[in-house]
Amino acid sequence: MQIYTVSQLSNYIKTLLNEDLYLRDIWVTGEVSSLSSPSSGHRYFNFKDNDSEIRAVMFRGNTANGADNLIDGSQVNIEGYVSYYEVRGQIQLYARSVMPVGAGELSVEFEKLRSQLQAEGLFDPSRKRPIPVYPKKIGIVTSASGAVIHDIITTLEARYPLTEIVFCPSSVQGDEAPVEIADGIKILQQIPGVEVIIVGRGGGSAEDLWAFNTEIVARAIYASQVPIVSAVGHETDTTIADYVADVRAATPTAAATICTPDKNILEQEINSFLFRSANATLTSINEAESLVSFFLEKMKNYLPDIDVQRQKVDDILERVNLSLQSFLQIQKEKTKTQISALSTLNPEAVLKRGYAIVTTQNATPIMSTKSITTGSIVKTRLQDGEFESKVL
Amino acid sequence: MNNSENETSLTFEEAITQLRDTVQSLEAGNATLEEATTLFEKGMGLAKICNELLSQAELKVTNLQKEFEKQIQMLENPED
Repeated sequence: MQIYTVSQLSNYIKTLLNEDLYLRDIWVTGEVSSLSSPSSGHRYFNFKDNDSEIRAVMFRGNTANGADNLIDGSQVNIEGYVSYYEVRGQIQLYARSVMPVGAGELSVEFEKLRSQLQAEGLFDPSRKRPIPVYPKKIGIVTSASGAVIHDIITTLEARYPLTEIVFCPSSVQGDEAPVEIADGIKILQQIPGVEVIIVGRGGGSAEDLWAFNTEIVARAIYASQVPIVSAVGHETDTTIADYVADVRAATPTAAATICTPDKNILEQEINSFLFRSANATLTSINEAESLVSFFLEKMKNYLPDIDVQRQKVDDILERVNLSLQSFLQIQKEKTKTQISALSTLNPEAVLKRGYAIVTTQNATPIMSTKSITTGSIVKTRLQDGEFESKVL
Repeated sequence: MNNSENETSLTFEEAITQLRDTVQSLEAGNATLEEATTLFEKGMGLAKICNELLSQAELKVTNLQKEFEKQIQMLENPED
């Protein structure tokens, strides 16, 4: 015999309950009682009818899905799962969403589909795709008669007329609407150049918007090859289509704005590009210019300096001139000396010192006594004249 | 410019993307003067194309249902 601990038993009970397919996702109707809302944000209450009661809890993470409907004594429909709380030994109903009874079948259906598609990952934020910045073509699925197509055309004409609208008219309410909307999405994504699709309709009652809460539309959006922007009803209406779409727009005008750049801003951007490229080019030119000046300066250092050369020539000329002059001076002095030397040799000068020159009568100097004889006539020259005499 | 034929067939997206790239290359500042001049001329050309595309564009609306009806009509009256 095997003996189990209480924990093992509790675990086993919990596993049994969790494995049951019916209890994983179940709708239960009943009355709320003994509600407590502690600061943790979770809601604890008893859920009962005339004969039975079950402990119930709604965790904080789910309270956005209708926790406000949990009021003591109120009749509500709860969507959730059943599991076992080992700590207290209690089987509990874990509420994922709460709808008031009498909210109509539509609300219940909506909640059912919403939680199913959410569980399948159709709303997963990680699969939301970015909207192209400059779409060549924008597909539109909406009514041919409503204000939606008009608003979108007006907005695109002003913002980005470069794009092309490919309009697939469709019913947006009534029995045909879900299939027509889904077909529109399927057709448009196959048209070359369609890079984004806007799906939408104007405001209306919950019944009017119903086509956008159908599974066929949700799945067509999910399966689309191109991003989908939804614009359904007013901002306060959120449809399943909005949950699945890549981007939810509050209005058709907002949808058109999300899908396109603004022409005026583009023009400003282009102008600023022009300005910036002119600036950058000017900078390049200035840099090149200063580089050229820099090299010019450098090259000047290697050019022969004509002024210096000219000065050198002048210097040389002057020096030549000077030497020439001093040479001439010296020559002059020398000449003077020679002249004075010569003058001492001049016989006239000798006469002045008291000497006399004796010549023959025909003025031949008599250098030796042997060249004269007794009786010959000689001439004697003194400094102031001459006379003849006879040799005795 | 001798390649203007290619450039006029650019889409707006291609033209403005090339323009943005051109300006960034210019601003990077490592182009030679000759390259910078060429880039500048290219940028001017691209900006002109962008502005022309923007100012001349007229929103085109194709109604698939009307297109479809037209085609049916043509099938029914082939002599048109």
